[in-house]
Amino acid sequence: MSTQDESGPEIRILPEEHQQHFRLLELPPDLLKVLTSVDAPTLKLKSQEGLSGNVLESQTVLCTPDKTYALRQVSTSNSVYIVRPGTAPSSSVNQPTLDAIAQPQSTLELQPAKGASAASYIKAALPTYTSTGHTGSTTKVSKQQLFADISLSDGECEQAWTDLACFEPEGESYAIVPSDSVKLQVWEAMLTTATAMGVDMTHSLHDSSQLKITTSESEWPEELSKAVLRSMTAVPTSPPNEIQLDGDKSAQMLGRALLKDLTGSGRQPVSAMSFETKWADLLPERWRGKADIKLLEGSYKEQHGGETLTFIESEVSKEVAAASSAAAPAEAKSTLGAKRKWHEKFRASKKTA
Amino acid sequence: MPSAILHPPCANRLSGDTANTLLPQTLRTPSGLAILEIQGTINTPSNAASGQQQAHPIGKIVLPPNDPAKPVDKRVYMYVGKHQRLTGELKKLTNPIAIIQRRKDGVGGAEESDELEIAEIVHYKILFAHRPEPVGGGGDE
Repeated sequence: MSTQDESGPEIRILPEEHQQHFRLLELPPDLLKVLTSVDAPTLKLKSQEGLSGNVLESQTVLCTPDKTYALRQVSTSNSVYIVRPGTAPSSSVNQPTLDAIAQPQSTLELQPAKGASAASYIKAALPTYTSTGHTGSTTKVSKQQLFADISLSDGECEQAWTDLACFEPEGESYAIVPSDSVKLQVWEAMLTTATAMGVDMTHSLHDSSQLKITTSESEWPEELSKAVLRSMTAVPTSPPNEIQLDGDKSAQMLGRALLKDLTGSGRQPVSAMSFETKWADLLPERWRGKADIKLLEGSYKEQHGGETLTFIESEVSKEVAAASSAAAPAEAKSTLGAKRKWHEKFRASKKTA
Repeated sequence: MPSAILHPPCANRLSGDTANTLLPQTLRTPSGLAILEIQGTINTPSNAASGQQQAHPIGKIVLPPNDPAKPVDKRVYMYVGKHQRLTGELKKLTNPIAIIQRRKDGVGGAEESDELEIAEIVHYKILFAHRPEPVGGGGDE
């Protein structure tokens, strides 16, 4: 053993004031793949300030371009060092050493974020654009500021932004979200114009035809019309100067908006028959058949044996809320359970002692 | 909302240090950084008391030889003082760990910026999960 003893490098610990500061971050497989790819993207850490003004670790998220992870700080009772090979000047030759250059106190763990959706945040934060102008006492924020305030990745924010048909009025740097009835009116105006001009909305729309539809005699801002069109496209759109409306997505968006407009906020239920007719009338001729109530699964409630319909807020957001609230106690329980076991493990030895 | 940028690992983060060959293949990283975990604490004399500015030697570490023919050998020993030996192993991490530091700015990396970067991604750690065992003095063996 003594020979082996001498063959190893010396291990040294740097004095605390010379130590460097490192944090350790556990990488889930999908994030590791992103980081080790040839053109690895820059990540962003966003932290929400708690009510007391303290930044709570659980409210910090790590964002890749399109994914969000919640950060959790985990401590260990073991001593963790970051070591690096070094050399120590010795009498004759430089002796190899292994130097502990830092002692991180905790590790950051990542979990897929299960918070509120970007859409619900955007709806709450932005003023609503209605046919009489924009309302809402909320302060005006730019799109950039809005995204910076949402503890989700830019990709997720952009998706919700597009789906909600949000826009910044020309020359302005604040964002607004159109109401459902405005979206319907804008769409109807565009569809009428398109029919009059012989433009088929179910085909891919080139820039020039888009321009005709969105500007011609429209009382609505061009940005709004474009945002509504974009909200009806399937992602990703192929060439930049063309857009292709997606039949199912368009029908779904319009159906949901129509039902909400007709029956939302405590209004009377609507007859299923007349709703489907109105809905089909909103669609281009070729897509009339897509007006099927099954497409709005989760957004409506049937009454009187399916004869009348009422709009309900999408189940998805409710599920997310329920899942996140359910996950927290479950997690607390499991850590508590683990701790209890830890005590049980030692209870036996304690009694005999 | 306050935010910070985290840069991915730099592609040419080579330490340029030949001493890197000191570590066995599994532990070797471009920057030379590795993780060492010990159950318990190492008490080093405080510098105020000793006035020491240098790195404090605590013992010798014996890593598995760089022998591709014997990749199964993962045992690591650490001798602290003359009479204590820790037995450990090279352990593959369930999830690899990114070592994060503040990005260095300015000439020669003198200033620290607000941006963070991943200095290294490690897949293995040296883990000493057991208490030290007594060994005879060097002269006895």
